[in-house]
Amino acid sequence: MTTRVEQVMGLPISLDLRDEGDFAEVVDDVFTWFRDVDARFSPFKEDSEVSRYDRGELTAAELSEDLLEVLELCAYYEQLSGGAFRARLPGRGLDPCAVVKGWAVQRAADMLKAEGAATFCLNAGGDVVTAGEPEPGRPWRVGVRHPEQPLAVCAVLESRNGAIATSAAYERGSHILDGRSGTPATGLLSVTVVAGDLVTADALATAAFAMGTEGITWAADRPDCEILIVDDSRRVHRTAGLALAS
Amino acid sequence: MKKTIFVVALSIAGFIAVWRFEPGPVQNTAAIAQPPPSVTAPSTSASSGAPQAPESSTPPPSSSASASDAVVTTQGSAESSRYGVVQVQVTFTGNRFTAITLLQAPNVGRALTALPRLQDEAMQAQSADIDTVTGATETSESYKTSLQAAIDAKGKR
Repeated sequence: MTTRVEQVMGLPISLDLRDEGDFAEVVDDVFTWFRDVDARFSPFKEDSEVSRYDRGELTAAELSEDLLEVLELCAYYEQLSGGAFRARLPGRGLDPCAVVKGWAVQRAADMLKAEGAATFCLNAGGDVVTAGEPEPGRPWRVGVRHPEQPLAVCAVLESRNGAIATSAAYERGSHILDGRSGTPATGLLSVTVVAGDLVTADALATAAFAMGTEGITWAADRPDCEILIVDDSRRVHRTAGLALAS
Repeated sequence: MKKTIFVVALSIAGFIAVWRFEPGPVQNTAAIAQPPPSVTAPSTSASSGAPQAPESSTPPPSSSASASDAVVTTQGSAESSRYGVVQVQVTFTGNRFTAITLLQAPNVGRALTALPRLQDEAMQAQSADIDTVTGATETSESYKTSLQAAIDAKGKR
């Protein structure tokens, strides 16, 4: 059993690993991976691959496989969301953060699984990947933060092998921009998406939040995901298949 | 054994009856409904091939004198549909089928075929024993005052 919390990639990252055995090495590798991702993909670091590509110092042919994968994912979700989700806004630099986070955390979860870890909960800034059951017969219980009360939850979800991501703008107004207008997204307080992997969950949550109220039906129409959205009239919209804890 | 087959057959009949039943506009059963609403089952003999056409819902007798009049209640399995989970309970009195109860139904609009996938509900904070929290906690500042930080601190003890 291992618990570790670090601030990496500008995110508080918590790992709660319940398997018996020695996983010290892979846990170290996971946090090293997050630091590497930060160094390579942060648009806020001058010498990151993302910054160098954005300044034209690297051509597409010179990019790493990883960054190409991230940029492909960005393009995919931009198209899927009709431009609401956008990694490059007019007048701004390339910012693939919205995809990088989910992608990097899912990769970390896959690293843990590859080393035999089967029972863990990895939480990066409120985006969660779970595996197995913390106790026999009991799924992980994932609280959905109440959008207006930091220490309350507005729902509790059950998860075994899956991913849950939330996009929200709780206190200081929205920092997620609607890529179609370039202005802060409005209409929703928080968007939670449950999916099989965190790349999907995170990107859909961000895109739906960026879309505003039309993001509710848009997200609900995506296959293989479940959603819980709180709109700005404090109504909760959720899909029927959402695994709510009783 | 014979009785079991009969019960199962009528469960299916009841299920189809409920499936075909068009509920009113205000029904909103997100979870198991207690007390459950009793609904009158329309005749399903034509479509189900059940050995006996279900009759209109009548209150089950409070007690039964003979074994043949025993009240039997059976629950159909919870069936997933693209609109959610549907589960019915069928009550028999002796050989007579006396009630269908909807245990679980999708959030229902005018008709089953027109169900919205989405459910609207009032936001309600629940307290529960949780393992982690999903939410946009992207700065060290917001993390410090978060529920997740409290959970992490508990895990480190």
